[in-house]
Amino acid sequence: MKLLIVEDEEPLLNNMLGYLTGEQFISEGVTTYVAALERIHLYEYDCLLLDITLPDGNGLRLLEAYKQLRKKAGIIIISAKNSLDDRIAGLDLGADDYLTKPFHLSELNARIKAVIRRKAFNTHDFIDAGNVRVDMTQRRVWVDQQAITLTRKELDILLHLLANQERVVTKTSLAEHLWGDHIDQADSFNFLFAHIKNLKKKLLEAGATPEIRNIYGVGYQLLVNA
Amino acid sequence: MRLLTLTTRYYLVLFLLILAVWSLVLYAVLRQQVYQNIDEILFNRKQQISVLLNQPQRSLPTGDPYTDFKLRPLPPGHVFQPDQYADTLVFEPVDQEYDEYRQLRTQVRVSGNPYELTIVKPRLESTEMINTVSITLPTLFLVLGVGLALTARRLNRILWQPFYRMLHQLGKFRVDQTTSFQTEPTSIDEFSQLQQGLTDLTERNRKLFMQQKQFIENASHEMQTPLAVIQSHIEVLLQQAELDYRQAEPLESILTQTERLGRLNQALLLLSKIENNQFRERTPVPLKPLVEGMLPYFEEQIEQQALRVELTIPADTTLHTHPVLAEILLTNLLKNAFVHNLSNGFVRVDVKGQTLTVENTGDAPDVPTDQLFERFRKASRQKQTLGLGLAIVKTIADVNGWAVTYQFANGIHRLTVTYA
Repeated sequence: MKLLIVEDEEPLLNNMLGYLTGEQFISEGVTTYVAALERIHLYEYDCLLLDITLPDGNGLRLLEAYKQLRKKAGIIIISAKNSLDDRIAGLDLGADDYLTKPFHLSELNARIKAVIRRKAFNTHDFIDAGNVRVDMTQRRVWVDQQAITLTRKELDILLHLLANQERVVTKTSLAEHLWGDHIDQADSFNFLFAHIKNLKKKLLEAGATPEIRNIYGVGYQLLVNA
Repeated sequence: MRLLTLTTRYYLVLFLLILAVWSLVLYAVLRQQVYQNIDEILFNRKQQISVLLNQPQRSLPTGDPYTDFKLRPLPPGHVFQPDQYADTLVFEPVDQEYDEYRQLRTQVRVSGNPYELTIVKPRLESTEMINTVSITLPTLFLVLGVGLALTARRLNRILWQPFYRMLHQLGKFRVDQTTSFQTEPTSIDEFSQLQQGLTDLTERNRKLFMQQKQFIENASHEMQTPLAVIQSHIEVLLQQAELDYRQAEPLESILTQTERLGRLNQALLLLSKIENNQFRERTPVPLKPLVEGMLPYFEEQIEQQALRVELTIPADTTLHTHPVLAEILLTNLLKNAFVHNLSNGFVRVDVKGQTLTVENTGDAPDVPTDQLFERFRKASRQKQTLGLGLAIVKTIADVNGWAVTYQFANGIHRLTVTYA
């Protein structure tokens, strides 16, 4: 699995590459339109992350150029412009997702995996972690072949943590993942604590090996091989 | 009061003053002329009579109604006095009234004997003089006054038209309008200058305002990338295995504040974009699915505070606006209603005719009602909110030409959007 990140802001690019290292894919990064164009012509990728504003071009043009090559990578547009026009233009041109700066690296990671998974066309799309198995299409969870019932948000939390296994996922990242702009931060943290508490309890009662750890009030970490 | 009405009034007062003074002057001049004239006649008559009386063949005519003088002998050795002119009244038997005469009393010698000679002549009467003055002058002034008023009205219609057009335009002028201030050209120099001045001034204001808006948008936009960099650094730092509590705590705080800054920035950017009319296209957006689709996001609030949610939205109601604006508007209205609620309270969304009403239970607002829609106005107990929600609601209503009002009564907050 290969990933190309086109982002002109070098510190951000490095952090993205750093965060994604150790995932099941190899990530490469370029900072210019020209370099990106060269890479997409020469190599095959499974997912492209495109920043819209580049010093020597536009990410949307890159997207067009890529589509003309009839290659099949998943594409995520990244932009500081939270502009609807860009979003629509990007999705119209065949992008699979859209992220607005500033974003959480854990969210980015989850989106990349979701895009890659969608592109894989697996009829049975499972995620396994320890003795926990999640059916992504049916949205069902088993612990040691024993089905457990999670609420929609508990499952969303579990999936977000599974996508970022062994990473510290901040509570804001989780809250935004669940509620977006819809509720207030203070409230969302309280609700998040409650959901996590319930999720932990259900996993514990079912005897799941992956463990959700609280990291100093900053966020949570899913340890599969604790 | 109109400038021309006021000017006309001042002119009329001035006219009346001039009229009063001028009547007196005219009367005095007229009277003086009359007296001079009659006194001259009397003097000439005296000379004539003196000559006539000293002709030897003449006897002294007295008491003759056809003569205009009387002779009265004076004692010999009488010392002559200077001529005396005086007004007198003479009974006129014909019309049975006293008429005003001028009389000259003098002394003459007839054949060496002194006589007192009194000559009378009818003169133009005072009342006649006054009548003349008081008829002719006011008539003149009346004609002038009416003329002035009519001219003023006519001038008002012709000359001042460009001025009133400019006033009208100025009244309609909004600093955020997209077109320049425009009026028809005029041939009058002063108005033309005024027009030029107004055009320059309004254009400068419009440009400044647009630059300001553009600046806010650009500034917010430029801040997104550094914020993204900071945020990603912290997230990477948080992944370090050797992280302990003393490091995690400040990192958490930095992250929270950075994210807050990011959200604030995005909200400001959104406000600028709405104001800059970047969500121009309008389509009918069905309300019911929009509101219902948002409710799951609030399910924790609903559960925790045991809130009753009542939706009365006819299935066919639509909001004619940009889909993004409709969503942001409703998100903010609902968020506001859920965040400021009380246990066992309710949230009620009611769409009737051309109004959308969102009601919720809650404590009395501690911000003056008229300031609620201002930016960064928020209840002091809500530290986590940005204080931009209702400002965004107001801005969306403004760009769509809707009215939004807020009321608080009996523990119920009510926000009404009228999209007529």
